[in-house]
Amino acid sequence: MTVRENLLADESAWPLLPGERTWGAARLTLTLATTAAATWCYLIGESVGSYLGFVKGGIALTAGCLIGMLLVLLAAGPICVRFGIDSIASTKPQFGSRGWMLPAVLQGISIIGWNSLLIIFFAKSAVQLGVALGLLGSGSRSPVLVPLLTLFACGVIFAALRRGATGVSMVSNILFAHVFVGLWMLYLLVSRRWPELIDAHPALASPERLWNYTTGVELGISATLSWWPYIGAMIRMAPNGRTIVLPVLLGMGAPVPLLSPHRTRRRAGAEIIRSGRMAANRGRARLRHRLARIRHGGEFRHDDRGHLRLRHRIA
Amino acid sequence: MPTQRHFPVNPLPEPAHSSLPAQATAPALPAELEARLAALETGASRSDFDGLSWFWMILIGIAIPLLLLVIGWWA
Repeated sequence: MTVRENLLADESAWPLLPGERTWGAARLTLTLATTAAATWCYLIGESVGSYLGFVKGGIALTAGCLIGMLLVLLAAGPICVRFGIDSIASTKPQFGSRGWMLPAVLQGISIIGWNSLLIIFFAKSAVQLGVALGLLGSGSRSPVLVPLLTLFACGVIFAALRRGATGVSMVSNILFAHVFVGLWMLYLLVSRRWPELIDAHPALASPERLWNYTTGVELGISATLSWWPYIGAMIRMAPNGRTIVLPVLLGMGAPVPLLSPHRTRRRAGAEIIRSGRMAANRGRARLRHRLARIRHGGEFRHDDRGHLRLRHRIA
Repeated sequence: MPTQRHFPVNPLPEPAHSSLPAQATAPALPAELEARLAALETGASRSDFDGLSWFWMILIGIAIPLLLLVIGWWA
């Protein structure tokens, strides 16, 4: 098998022969972990953090993600590994030689919708980074820069995906670093704000304890079930079933609960910051009152509109 | 009890008209694809999940989540 034939097989949707499947467990784990972290790890935890606290939310999310990944593995793994095909091609026995277009169209709609969101997030974050670094003025250039950066991201993605699963693996080798950045941020939050994180109350928690808990588990399961359309294209590069089990369950299932609670903690952190601001505002108000008493012989009072007005004390 | 037939079995006569017209009119698969499918069918069992794979799946996908669910409920 020549290199050219191998590349052609990778880029095509044809079944891959055992000699063409060159990915080992390490490469598969790296690619799956990066893909999981890059897509929506950081968004799931925010949803779970609305209903559950730090410890319980993390445990519920971990359990849900592992259950969901097992279901995905059982649905896509056997046929994708045996025949070296992707998930959509594996639906032909159930949907037929024309009916497979239904899951293909649904996958296409899902990919277009979700990836559009991610690309726009990227563009906005890049502009914010430029503003934070002092390279851009605040706000004025965003209407032009966001579309331009979005088009740039589309071009990069197109160039990477043209090379098939090999292109995804190449990009993953670079982006794998951001998994460690996320873990470092997590360490900083946990090591420095642990008491506040434990005390933070979920904003949308129901009075019913079981409802909150099952919602957290279901969010983990449903989030990982959505990997089914994507996972086949990567696990078909592995030679056998044993090679894919741990990379799928841990490489793709673990980053979600590990990095998602980031947002759980971020939401909790937002509450901490909000409560801190309120305390600071209260402190400033008390200070103003004292200064007014000392300097002007009067005091500040809120008027009907909520604005502070200086009122002189009547002797 | 004989284990083998001692008389020949006549094959069924060929039907005059094909009973599967859809298959007859379906476009043939590319030769390369046919060859790939044939090669994969012959060595298919080698790529399936083995006992160790099922052990990890049951441990990580069922046992650990169940344990976590119990721990999380009482946390």
